[in-house]
Amino acid sequence: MSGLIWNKTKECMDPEDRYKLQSARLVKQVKRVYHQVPFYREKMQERGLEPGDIRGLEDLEKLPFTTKTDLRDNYPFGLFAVPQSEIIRLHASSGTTGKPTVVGYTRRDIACWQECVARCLTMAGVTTHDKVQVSYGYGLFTGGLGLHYGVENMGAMVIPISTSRTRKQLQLMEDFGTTVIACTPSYLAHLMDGIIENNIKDRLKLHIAICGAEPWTDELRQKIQDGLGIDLFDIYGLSEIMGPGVAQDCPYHNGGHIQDDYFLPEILAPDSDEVLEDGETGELVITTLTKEALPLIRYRTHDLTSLSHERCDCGRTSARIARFRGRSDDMLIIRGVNVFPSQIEAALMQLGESKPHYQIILDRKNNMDTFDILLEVEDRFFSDEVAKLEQLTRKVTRILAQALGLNPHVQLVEPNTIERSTDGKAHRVIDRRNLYKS
Amino acid sequence: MAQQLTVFLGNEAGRFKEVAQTLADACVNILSFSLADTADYGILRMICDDPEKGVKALRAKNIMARSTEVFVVPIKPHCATLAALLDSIGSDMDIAYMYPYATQGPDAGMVVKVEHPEIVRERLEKAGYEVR
Repeated sequence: MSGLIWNKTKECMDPEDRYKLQSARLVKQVKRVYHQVPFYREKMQERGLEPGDIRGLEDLEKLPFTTKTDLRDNYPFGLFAVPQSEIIRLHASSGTTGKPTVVGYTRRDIACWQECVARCLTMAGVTTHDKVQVSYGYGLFTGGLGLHYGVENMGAMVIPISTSRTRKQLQLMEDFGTTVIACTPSYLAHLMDGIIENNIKDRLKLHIAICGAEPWTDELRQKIQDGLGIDLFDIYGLSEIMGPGVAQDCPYHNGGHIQDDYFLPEILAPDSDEVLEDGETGELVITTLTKEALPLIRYRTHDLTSLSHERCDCGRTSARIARFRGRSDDMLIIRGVNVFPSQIEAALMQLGESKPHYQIILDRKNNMDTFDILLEVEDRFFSDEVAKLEQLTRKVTRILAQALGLNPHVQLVEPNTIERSTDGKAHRVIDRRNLYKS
Repeated sequence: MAQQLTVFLGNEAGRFKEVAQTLADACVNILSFSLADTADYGILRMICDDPEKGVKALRAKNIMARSTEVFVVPIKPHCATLAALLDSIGSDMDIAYMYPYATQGPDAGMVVKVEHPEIVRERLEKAGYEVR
């Protein structure tokens, strides 16, 4: 069951050759960012580093880290390493203070992305005979367009339905004979409920699902696999680095193969920033080896995982990341959207001068994330009229929808009912989803 | 205007009872009440003999309560009086809510909260109602 391999030369490269390729690319990339991006030049100079000091992978640890804050501080284009005329596309993800994180791509960056997604699809068993329904959102979010062009590149048929109503999704899936679906795992679980409810499973030709954009449990994978009789693949990516396609598991489901000829992974100890060995769990840090528009050196993903460099039974020699163990920051992933509690707090400050007492409650019902905001009814919010209280809940919903791109269910509760810790601070986030349970 | 004791009730078992018990312990007599229910919470509106005392007692227990100005309009306990009352208020006036103070006997009347109390008071008094 080794299956097809899109780019055997790169994906199954001899480890020594891989090391040499990565080293050469790193040296070149460091030179480029030093000369093209003032931010990197200053950071390296602070450490007394010159491009010549980086002669290969063995010198990687000398380089400074890059963080999401750096991206935000240089909003929108400050970290770009090419003139804007060479950028052919922008994507963006929501930021912590309302400003999004902007990512640019040159023509070669887009080609690299298409290559990575084509590798992932082939790894999952997708061929030119497949029909791929892309149910990720199209737009600034990388999911929809990332998958779309990858499917086109590898030559399968793409059905760019984006996020639309479940009924429509199921209808096209049946009418067009969709064989592969790409969406978030929780949305697939929701689709599965619709398939079972409408009793249309036997009329579908679905056999593969490419799921990503949010963490999910083995239980959910097993449940969908059993319920629909399809194979599921966990595609990983983050917009800062590229988008979906940075890594994905093969049919052996033994960790995600990182496209490490493009994206160099390291694992850091969460407390000391020390680089860890294979098998040890810490924060995933990625250096983009070939990206032209927005090269990132040692970018901190805050995703907790471990690495393996052992050759996989599928024949690939790329490094593999283990199932994610959680986050090293407080970022939440709700219905595939990245949310920082600080964004919610900043949005709720629009209600008045002082901070309201609130709590974020995340749960899963019918495999879909539920997103509730409990808001304590203080004097300034209280009214004897239901209409006025409903105005308040609508206003809070609107403020949060604008800030996050997600609609919460706002529930008014009595004052002093939100649990506070001993230091008087409210427990802001209750996440009952157990997403990182192994 | 009459003072209504208004209470926010979170969607939790036993909340209503706690409010009633708190008022009982403070010897506040509830003369009439209405409960507006939504999926997530309720608003309890009461006419009491001592609304300020009620607010104090409830707030001491961290229950969101306040007194709100409303009209109590006595009506005759017979047919067509509600229609007549609404006619006097006028269909151009927004009524936020309304509930009976009593439907029988000498106390028969309606509790009314409207958007423009001054205008409505004038209209009602002109129509012969003794508005409290």
